[in-house]
Amino acid sequence: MGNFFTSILSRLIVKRPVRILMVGLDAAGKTTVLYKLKLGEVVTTIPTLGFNVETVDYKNISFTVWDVGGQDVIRRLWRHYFQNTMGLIFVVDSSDRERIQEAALELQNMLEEDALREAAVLVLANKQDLPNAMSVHEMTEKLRLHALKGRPWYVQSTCAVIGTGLYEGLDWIAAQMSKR
Amino acid sequence: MAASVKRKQEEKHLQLLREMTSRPANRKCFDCEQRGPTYANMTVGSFVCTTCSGILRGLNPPHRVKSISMTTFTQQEIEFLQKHSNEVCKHIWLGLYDDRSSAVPDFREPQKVKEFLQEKYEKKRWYVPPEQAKMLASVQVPHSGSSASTSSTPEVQPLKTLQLNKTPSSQSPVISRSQPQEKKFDLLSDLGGDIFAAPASHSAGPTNFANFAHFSKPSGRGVSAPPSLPSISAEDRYAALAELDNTLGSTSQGGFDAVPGSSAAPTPPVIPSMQQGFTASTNPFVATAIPPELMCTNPFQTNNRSSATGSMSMPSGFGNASNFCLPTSFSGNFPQPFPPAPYHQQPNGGFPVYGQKPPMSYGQPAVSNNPFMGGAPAGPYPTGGSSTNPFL
Repeated sequence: MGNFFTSILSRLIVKRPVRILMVGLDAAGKTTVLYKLKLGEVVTTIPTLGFNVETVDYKNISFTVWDVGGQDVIRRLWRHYFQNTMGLIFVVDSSDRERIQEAALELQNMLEEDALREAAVLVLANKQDLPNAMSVHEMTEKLRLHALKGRPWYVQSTCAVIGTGLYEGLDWIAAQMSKR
Repeated sequence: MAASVKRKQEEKHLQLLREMTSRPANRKCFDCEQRGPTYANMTVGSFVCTTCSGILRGLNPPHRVKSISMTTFTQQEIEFLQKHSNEVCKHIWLGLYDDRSSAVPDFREPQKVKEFLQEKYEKKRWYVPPEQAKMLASVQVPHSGSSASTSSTPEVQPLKTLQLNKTPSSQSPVISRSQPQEKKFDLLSDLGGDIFAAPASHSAGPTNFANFAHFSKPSGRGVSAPPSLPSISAEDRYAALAELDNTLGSTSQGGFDAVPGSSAAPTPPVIPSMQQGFTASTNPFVATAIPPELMCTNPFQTNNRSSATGSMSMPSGFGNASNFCLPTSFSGNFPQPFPPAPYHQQPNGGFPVYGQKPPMSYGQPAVSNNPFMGGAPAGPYPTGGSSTNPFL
């Protein structure tokens, strides 16, 4: 009986830890997303060299979000963060049509990695406030996500500086985690 | 085969970039005049500092910035930069700007810099179309050349260069850390807009620049101590800063001394300061940016130097900032201890910049951690980051 209450109690108090890796091309808005989630504010960021990591508590889950710099030379370091990643957030600048193929390539390469085979993939189609931003549908096409088999994925349109779509994205990850 | 060709090409580009960034006009951030740009603004073709690169990519429409050392450049991009660079950009984006009557905002006030950049690029307040700018430039060159020669009289020039170099030498680290700051203020208040005239004359007048080099180079950036600069009276004026320094509990080597305490510090009180530091990251260390070939391999020595020498701005206590922001980032899930980032390391985290002077980790909401060391991101690494980096 005591055990029963303890387990109930611990389920109420202890938040389930989920490790999230957030990557994407440089200037996609990863750090802005992270601090919008963490602080609820828009911070002026500088290009990330290395990483930022914060825990974000949401819906009884404690998300540990690793935000890793996306400039091309340091992209090859992403793989050092793959281990134990349960959710992959791939942030894309929806208005950057010039580099969408580059983004698609990086995503495809990453998803071939064995260490990420368990990871749910959330794509944030960010910067929806900018003119000529790609829609969720277009983003899905451009990133060739329909070809992705055996793995849950989802595209969420966001605007990190306003905050729209961010928690919807976390909702999706939370739902995926509760399925496991 | 193809890979080696590509690598050669990249090396060539890097070489070209380094040549470009060593030109006088490109040695200062195009947008805030901080020394030692680390980013290239690919939208306009200028060289800027880290802080400004952050502001620029937040403009509307955003500018595209590329790190000089963290990205590869294509042939076209290199050509674009060669065609533009700070000199040309000045005639375009600051074509109508009067150096004398108005001053570029201080790089330690990011909000002002941001507003300035909005005026400059979003509203195009001082914009002159490139074609027109070219003509103007050709008219202005002889003019600025002559002004350079007049300003290079012996009475004026040494003072300027000394103050620009700002090199306290035989002081204790604590004092010398606050000193560069004072001098910066002195410089601003005493010379007024003159400091902004200095870079212009450097870029225009070769004699002037040679003088400048004469003062800065042989000294190994820090030996030529300014003999007659006030230290104590100015110290009083900045007592507040010193106090801040004390409250932050910084000793001169605080970044290293305080390792255990900092990693055990509680999370919540930290957030405001981190936040502040983050938004207000003027990154004074960039000012010191020393050419890569001069980079010291001993991390401790580098620290001392970077605080004691070129840094015209490092407010006291910043050396410790990495301690404060550390714990926020690790909410207890990770094995202790995480030594704080030595503050000469790159901003938010692990990777030392390859072959570049990597400043500023203060105020960054992140933890330094070198993934090369343990293979795993959470692996601890020795405090002396850059010296153990296999890439250096």
